[in-house]
Parts: sequence; structure tokens; C-alpha cells
Amino acid sequence: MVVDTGRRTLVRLIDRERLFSTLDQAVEKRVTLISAPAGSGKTTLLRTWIDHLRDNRRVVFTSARNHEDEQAFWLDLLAALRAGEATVPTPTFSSAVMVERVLAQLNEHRDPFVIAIDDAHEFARDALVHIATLIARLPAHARAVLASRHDLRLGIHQLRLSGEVAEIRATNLEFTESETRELLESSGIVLSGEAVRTLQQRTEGWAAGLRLAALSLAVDSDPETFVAQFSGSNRVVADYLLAEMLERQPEHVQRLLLTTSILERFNADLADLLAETSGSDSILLDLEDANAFVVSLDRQRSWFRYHHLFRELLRLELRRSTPDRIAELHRRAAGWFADRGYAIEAIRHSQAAGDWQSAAWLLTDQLFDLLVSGHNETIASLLEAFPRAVRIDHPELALVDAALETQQGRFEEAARDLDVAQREAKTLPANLQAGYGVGIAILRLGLARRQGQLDSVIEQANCLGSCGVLRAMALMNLGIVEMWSGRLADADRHLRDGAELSQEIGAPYLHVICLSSLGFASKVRSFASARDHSERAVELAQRYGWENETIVVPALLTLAGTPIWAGDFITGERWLERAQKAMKPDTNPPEEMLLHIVSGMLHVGRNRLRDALTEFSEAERMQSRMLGEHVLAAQAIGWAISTKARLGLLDDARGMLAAVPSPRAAAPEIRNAAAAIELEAGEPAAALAELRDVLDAHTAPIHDFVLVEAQLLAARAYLELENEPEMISSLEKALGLAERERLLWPFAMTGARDVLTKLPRHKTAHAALLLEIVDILDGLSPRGNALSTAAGELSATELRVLRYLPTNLSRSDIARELYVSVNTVNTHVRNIYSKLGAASRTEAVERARQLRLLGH
Amino acid sequence: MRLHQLLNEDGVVRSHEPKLYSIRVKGHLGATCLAAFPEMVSQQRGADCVLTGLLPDRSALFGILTQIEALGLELIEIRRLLPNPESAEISKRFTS
Repeated sequence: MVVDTGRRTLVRLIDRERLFSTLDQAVEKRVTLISAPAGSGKTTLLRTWIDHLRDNRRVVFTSARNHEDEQAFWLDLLAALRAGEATVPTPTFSSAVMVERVLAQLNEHRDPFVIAIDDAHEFARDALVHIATLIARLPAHARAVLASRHDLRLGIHQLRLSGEVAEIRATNLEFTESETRELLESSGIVLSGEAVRTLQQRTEGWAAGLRLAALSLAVDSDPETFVAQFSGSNRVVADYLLAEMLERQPEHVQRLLLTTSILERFNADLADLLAETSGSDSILLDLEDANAFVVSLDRQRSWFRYHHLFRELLRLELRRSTPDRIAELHRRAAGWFADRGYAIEAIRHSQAAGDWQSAAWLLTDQLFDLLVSGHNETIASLLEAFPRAVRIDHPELALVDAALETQQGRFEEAARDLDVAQREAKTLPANLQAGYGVGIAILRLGLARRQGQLDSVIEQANCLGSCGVLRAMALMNLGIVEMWSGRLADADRHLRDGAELSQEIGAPYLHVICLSSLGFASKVRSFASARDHSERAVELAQRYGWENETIVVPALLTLAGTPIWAGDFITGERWLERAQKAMKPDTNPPEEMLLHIVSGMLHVGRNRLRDALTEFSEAERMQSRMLGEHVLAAQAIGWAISTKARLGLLDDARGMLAAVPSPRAAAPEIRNAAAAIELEAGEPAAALAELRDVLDAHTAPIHDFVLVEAQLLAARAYLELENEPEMISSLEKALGLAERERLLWPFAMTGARDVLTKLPRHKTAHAALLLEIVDILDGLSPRGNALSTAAGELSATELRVLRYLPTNLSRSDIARELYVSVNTVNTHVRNIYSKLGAASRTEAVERARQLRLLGH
Repeated sequence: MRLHQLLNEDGVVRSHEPKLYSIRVKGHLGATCLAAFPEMVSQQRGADCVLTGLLPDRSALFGILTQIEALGLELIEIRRLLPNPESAEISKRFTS
């Protein structure tokens, strides 16, 4: 729950001016920690302080409690920072990414900002690490206030040492005598000075105790006696006062309070149901108005929750007084939530009621909706709440297990669980079986898509008969499996349908995945359409804050790959870096293979063949994690072999070639690799023999680039055989094929520079392209980019000066470092600016980085 | 006596005996608060309450401490009781 600052507490809780000024002072520092036991009044203090703020500070108040999972907490925080703009969960949640998004959002504003987080003791250890990161990196205009029951291990010693941490502790929060009087008076209670003092001493100024006492005192005819009796008792304050308070309530209010204590949140309808009464709405509003530990959660005051300590006490009292009714209450609550579509709460209460059967069916039934709406963490916690014996008795839960395992890359376990689920399908009631069957089919497809397994697709395609989310998931999974297994036309069709349907039913997450994959699948048609789909995928992802999620990896790789093909390695590298960051290793081998291939291509373009070899070998290794053959598997092996050959590792390359199994060995990608070996071995005739089938178009390659590569290898062979007409003919074919999609990268891959320079300019119809390729192979940016000419012109001394420009050294500092005069440095800097076309030091550094004259 | 199977660091299963703890909190616990500690026996000692019970392991102990924190109780002392005539007497009440 996040309460925005526009909301005013309805009943004026007493303003504790003393503490307000303490807090005002505290938030001068970057972090304020409020650490005090339950019931000390931390939450109330924070809320009233926020309400009383009169300056232009923006405040976000949130709690580590009342969130289904960590993701919900972060999304709520982000939504509050964006002033209510919606945030959407993703199945692949990462706290680290969320911290970045929150920081980015904070950096957008310059106004003073306070993030107040209540109940911070509720954070799990891991979550706390991310909170600490957020705090350590808060921009200067932002502050954090954390309230918790015990001291948190945040690891912010640095901030502490630099005096950036303020602390408010239990003793600060204790009610003084005068505050006690004020509190009582605000509830219309008048006590003698002696009684106020006694009450304050007996409760030790403990806020919850005083407020409980006030509830009883307000309806007690003899408040002085009440205080005297209370102070004469040794009973624990809360315990004593709760009993007294309950005793003074009418029976139906008592019942309402006790029965609703099983709920995290409730409304009047639900309260009526549990308390077997009517008119709960006015009771709840009265309780909130009386400040009786009931807080409304929304502006309409329809949903409520109890203060934590109060709820805890009521639950204990319920457990003590009517232990045998509790299961029934949970059962009723479960039914109520289920009827209204609150799946998670329905499942939790079924579990609490011990209704394992309905809990298991509900979870299975809601699995896909929960998955698509990003509730992985919650699904896992719901699954864990089933006792081991129950999980064995309810094989349908294996379906839930399989879904989570697939996403974590535990494919074998997932497959095993799906087998179990399938075997036990017959034991389910008839009305559940149909949906259950579709569920199994979709999960099998999902598993198949990560393992690139085509054969299972056909048998599972029956789940396309379903509708809504299930059909969209089926189309997506099917399209992706087809894509990775090389049936690109089918993939293209299914992914388009999937994209359209997910847009229609409002499933943006699936929509992004379909578009993202369409980028790769439509590459056959044209690079332009591939780029177009990928850009749309990234754009859509951005809108939901998913631009760094794994789902955009295929799109990012397409956006990296297409410029690399065209020789624009700077753009390619930028996209590739984003893809590398977004990729979650070991969860999606087909995508990871593509990632390594594109990385290898970039290295080839930069003439770093050893690094390229590592990447191509990694790509090839990914195949071993898949069951079917990846559409790029032959390409990965082919380029690994060719790269080895070009590095002079001929024996190695031949060994690898010999190990390629026979059907794959005939693939054009592998033939090209065989030819590359022969060329490096000085056997041009043998190379041509290897290429014959490819050149005669006996085998259909997946893309023109394989043919460009073959023609270039042939040209190299003809050059060595001193057969100029054939060499020219091969080169012309290569250039002709390359022109349309600007497939310049194969020229780098095949080491074709020398052969290109042998081609007389007047004998080619592609002279401009030819010049551009030679520039690229010489390590220059593509022609047409004015920067490329400047790069070569920086002198050695200018380059030495250039290296100091990104530092904060002044010109005279640089002069000292280089043992030259300031005037000399000035001259060099002027020349650098003019050669790079830069107007400032920053601009010069930026240009130099673009030109790779400087690292980052 | 009930034995609990625990895994030690080497992954070897070994039997583990529950330990007897006594936990002192400030104030007398009434029926409501005592419902939070069904596994403990309570005794009033002066102005305090002493909760005594056999706990299977440290997680159980921390569970009790969390409950004490949730109720805003003031923790005064925790002791593990070693077998001696007095605690043997208490032990007997749990195992009989």
C-alpha cells in the first residue's frame, strides 16, 4: 500500500510537534532510521508528519508489508514516484533492475524528495540489500526514512561515518505526560493530573497501550478507577487493555473484530460474512474515526486493515477463545475471495483452512494468469506453503512446479514434472481436465521453445484451440520453437498472430515477446522488417519499463546484428552491450546461442579472432543444452571452424570438422568452413571442390550471407590459382548479393581484403560498395561518416594529449604529466578539436570515443 | 523423549535432543498473550513472566523471539537450562 501525500487522515491524530521537529531535523541527513518496538507509534508518527508538511517536498509513503511480493513493493514505489502512473509486473523480475528504475525516476526531478518506508523489518535479507543500494545511491535531493521494529543490517557504515544517518529510537517516541494528556483530550477523556501521570508511567509512554486505554476510558463511567485498577495490575499492558477494551464492546462488534483478524485486509461485505452480521460498514467507519487501530486503505474507505500489533492480539484472542472456528472462517474468506477473482488471497485462505484440495485446484487453474501478470515469486511461495505430503497427493501441483522450473532453466526437472502431471490427469474431476490438458500442452511448448525442440510442437499444437491468454501463449511458444528450428515462415505467421492477439486481450508482456522474436523470424524477409519489429518491441517494452528484461533480448540482438552485417560496429556494439546485460544466463539456450554468435561477429569485425573463436565455441556449446537442432547451430560450428583455420589452428579445425555428424556436414555453412580450412592450408583447388555444392545451389542456405561467404572464399581460391576472370566473376556475384542488404560483414569473416584490392575498379558495377568495404576492413567507420577521415589524422603526440582529455586534469597538469609546455598542449588541443570537429573538451572526448580512439 | 532428525554440516543425519529454554519477559501474560506460546509453560515470577519449554532447535527459539517482538513484549532474559534436578522436574512435564 502506498498512500500518496494528497490524502489526509480523517480523524486528526494528535500532532506530536516535538517529534515533528525531531524528524524535520533528521531528514536533513540522507537517511533517517526509526527503530522501536511494535506499537511505539512509528506509523502514526510518519503519517501525521507527512500530513503536516507544508513545504514543496514530495513524499512517498510505503510499507514493506501488505505487498504480495518484493516485486509488488518495488512497482508500488515506482508508481508512487511517477505520481500514480501505472507500472506492470513482469515474470522475470529483478530487484537490481528495479533499483535502477527507481533511481532513474528520482533523477528526473530536482525537487526535494522523501521516500518513507514503514515496516522495514519485514524485508527479507536479500531485499534489504537492494534497499541499502538504493539508499547509498540516492541523489542529493532525495532522502530516505525507514521505520522498523529492530535495527536493520543495512551495511551503510560509510554513510554513518560521514554523518549522513539520523536515528530516532524508542525513548524518543515515548509519550510524555503532556502528550498523554493531549491524546486523551482528543478522545474527549478528562483525567486528573495524577491519573494521567499514573497512566503514562504504567504504559511507559507506549503509544499502543495509551490508545488501547483511551478506547476503554472513552466509554467508561469511572475513568479514575479504571486507571487505578490498571496500574495495580501486573498484567502485560497490551494484554490487559485489549481484554478491557473488548469487554466494553457490544457483542457483534467484538465478533467482528475477532473474526476479521484472520484477514490481511477486509471490507464490510467480507466482515458481514465472517461475523455473521450486517451493517459492518458503519462499524468499520466508526472504528476508523475513533482511531481504534483500523485504517482504511483507499479513498472510498471500502477496504480496511488493522494495525499490526492490534491484529496480532485479536488473532491470539480468537485462537484462545474459539480455536475450532478458525478453519471455517478461513474457508469462508477463501470462498469470498475466489468468487470475486482474488486468486492469491483465495489460495492463501484455502491453505490456512487446510483445504488443500481446493487450494491446489485454484492454484493450478490460475497458474497462467498469475504467470503472465508477473507473480512468479508469489506462485513459488504459495507452492511452498503446501506440506510435502500434500504435494505428493496432488500431482496437479507438478504443473506449477514445472512452470517455475522452466523459467529457472531447470529443464530436466520441468520435463519430469510435466510427465507426472500428465500421468495423473485422469484423477482430476472432469470439469478441470480440459483446461489442465491445455496447461500441460502450453508448458511443454514453453519448455520446447527454450530447448529448441521441434518434434514436440506438432503434437502440442492442439492447444491452439483454446482462447485468450492460453491461445496467445500457445502461439508465442509455437512461433518461437518454429523459429529456432528453422521453420521461419511458420514462425513468422504464428508470432504475428500471437502479437495481434496479445494486444487485443491486453497482455503487453506476451506482445513484447512476440514482437521481439518476430525481429529474428522476419530477418529472412528483410533486415528492414526485422529492425522494424525489434524497434517496436523495444519501444513497447520501454513503455512498461521492461527495456532491460530478458524478453527484449532477441530484439536487442537483431538490432545489434543488422548494423554489424553492414559494418557499423559501433552501433552494433551498443545494442549488443544492452543485450548482454539483459540476458539471464542458463535460462534460454537458443537465445544465448544467438547472443554468442552476434558477439563473435563483432569480434571478427574488430579483427579480434581469438575472442571471436571463444564466442563461436560458446555458441556451439549451447547446442548441447537443446534437444532439437538450432537453426544457427551449423553456422556456429562453421564459423568456429573457419576462425580456427584463420588463426592457423589447422589440425584443430580439421578435427572439429571431422566431428560434425553427417547430415549436418553437408550444410552450406559447414562446406564454407571446410573451404576455409583448405584455403588456409594452401589448397585452393580443394577449397573450390568443397564449395561446389553451395555455389551450384544444390543446398538451400538459410540466408544470402552464406552464399556471399561462399563466393568470397571461391574468389580467394581463384586468386591463388591465378584465374582472374573467375575471381572477378565470384567477387561480382558476392558484391551483387551483398548490395541489397549491405552484407559487408562476410568480407571481414572470409579475410577478403587482399582479393578485393585485386579487383580493377573499372571491372565492377559495385565500385562504391567496394570502397566502403575496404575502408571497413581497414578498421575505419563506414564511408559517408565524416569522422572516419579525421581518425587517421591525429598525430602520435596529439593522441597522447587526447588520452588526458577525459580526466579532470587541467591543461597545465597535462603539460606537467607530458613534460612539455602549456603552450604545446594548447596547440595540440586546438588541433585535436579541429580534426575531430569538436567545439569543447567534452565533445572531443565524445567524438574520440565514437571513433574508438578512447576507451570508456 | 522425542528425537529430532537434523542434518549437520556434513549432510549426515544425526539425532538431536530438544533443549530446555526459559525466557523471562516483563509483566504477567494474560490468556490472550499466552495463546501465542502454546509450546511454553508460564510461571509468574515477581513482576515478570517466565516461559519455559523444550524447543527442538534454534529456529524454534527464534520463532518465539519473533513472537515476543510482534507483541511488543519486553524481553529480559533467555537461558538454556542444563539438566539438573529442578529442570529435570520441568522436563518430565513435557515428556510425560
